[in-house]
Amino acid sequence: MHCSDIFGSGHTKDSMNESVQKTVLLAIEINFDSCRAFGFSTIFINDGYFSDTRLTEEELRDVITQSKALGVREIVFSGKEVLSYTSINELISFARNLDLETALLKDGYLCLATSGKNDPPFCMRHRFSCVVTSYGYVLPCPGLEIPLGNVRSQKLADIIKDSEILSDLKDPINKIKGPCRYCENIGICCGCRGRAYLATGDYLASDLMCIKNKSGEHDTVSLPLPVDGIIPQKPPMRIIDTLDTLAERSASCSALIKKDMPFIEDDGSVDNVAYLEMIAQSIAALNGFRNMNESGSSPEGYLLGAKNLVILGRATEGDRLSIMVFKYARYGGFGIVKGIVSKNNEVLARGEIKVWHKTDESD
Amino acid sequence: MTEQEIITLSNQVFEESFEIEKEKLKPEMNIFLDLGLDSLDIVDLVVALQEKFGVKIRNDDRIKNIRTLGDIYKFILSLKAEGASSSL
Repeated sequence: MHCSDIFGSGHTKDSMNESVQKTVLLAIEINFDSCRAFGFSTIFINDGYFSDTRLTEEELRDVITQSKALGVREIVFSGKEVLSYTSINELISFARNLDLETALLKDGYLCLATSGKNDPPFCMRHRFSCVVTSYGYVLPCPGLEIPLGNVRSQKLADIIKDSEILSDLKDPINKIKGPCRYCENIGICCGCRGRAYLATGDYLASDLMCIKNKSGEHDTVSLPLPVDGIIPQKPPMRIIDTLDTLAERSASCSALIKKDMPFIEDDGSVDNVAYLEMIAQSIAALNGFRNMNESGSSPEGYLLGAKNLVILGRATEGDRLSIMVFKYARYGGFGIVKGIVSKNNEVLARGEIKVWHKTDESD
Repeated sequence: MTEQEIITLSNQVFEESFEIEKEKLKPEMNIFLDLGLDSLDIVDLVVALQEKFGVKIRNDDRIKNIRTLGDIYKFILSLKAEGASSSL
């Protein structure tokens, strides 16, 4: 079973375009697979709380009700454990009573990074659907295991509307990188995003498994990626090295503390202000990477200030640091970014920076 | 949530986030001219109001038109009335 077998039919092009423009949904998949760890991305989207208990039947009904309010017409109940979920029949009846079409999908999809299938998937499901796991996490699709939010802490409508990943995926013609973008099928297929993500770490990369890309004539960018070229800072002010992982409005980067970098004290330790600069450069790397197709670099932006900086440890020459950043809030061109700098999972610093980015609104 | 609760919590935002004296927090006070906020402070105000009231505040003409503390009370009242966090 391919995604397109379920999500590729029954929705007209007009209705899909309307879904993109009005941020509504036409279909959702409620997935009953086992609980999965999502890495660093849950640190920010759920206030650090990892949801490892299933939604109650009442909470699942609420998800269905919210989906209906968002325009959903079809609900797919999926996952290996879907039939063993005690209230599955009640949920199906509940959905049908709301005039929603329902489907059961016990087995997984064929489109996997490791599968031998390499036909074009003709999948455009991100334009009008998403997945809600039975643990409350909202995912773009089953293959893109990047949580956009959790329905326990946010309304589904807010998660959908705030998601930069969904926003990117709804605009494949401008956002997809590499050969998929120039493929003759781009209007009806943007490659399997799950396969692309598993192979490269970039949900906007081309689907290298697709037979259309077999020629290998295009370069493909994979993470981790050196940040030179995607952030405006040049050495010695460029103090982060690589963009490692992407998640919803967040990213993780790495920095190796070198003897000749700025912000090094006489005793070899790192000045506290360097942590703020690392957070600022990491968010610039995220924005620059998202905009690689448009301008090739991070949009113009400035660090305006910082607050709530808490220093918990010290880094010294030779340490490799991990910097995790999250776009916490935005208003117009102004934004608040939360950041955590750590060494071997020990948090050295955390804080918030205020930034300004050039946007259409701020012109 | 009553109107008085909204006024009290909004005033707390200005005291806690912008260190403005309680005596200055009157509905007719202009948040820029009288209370000293500037355009850089608006994103902090939005975040503080979201956290205080548990509502989602998006780019909205109503926010752009806010001038006085009284305008903020009315804005939060309207958000609460329409269940802003669940609306699109």
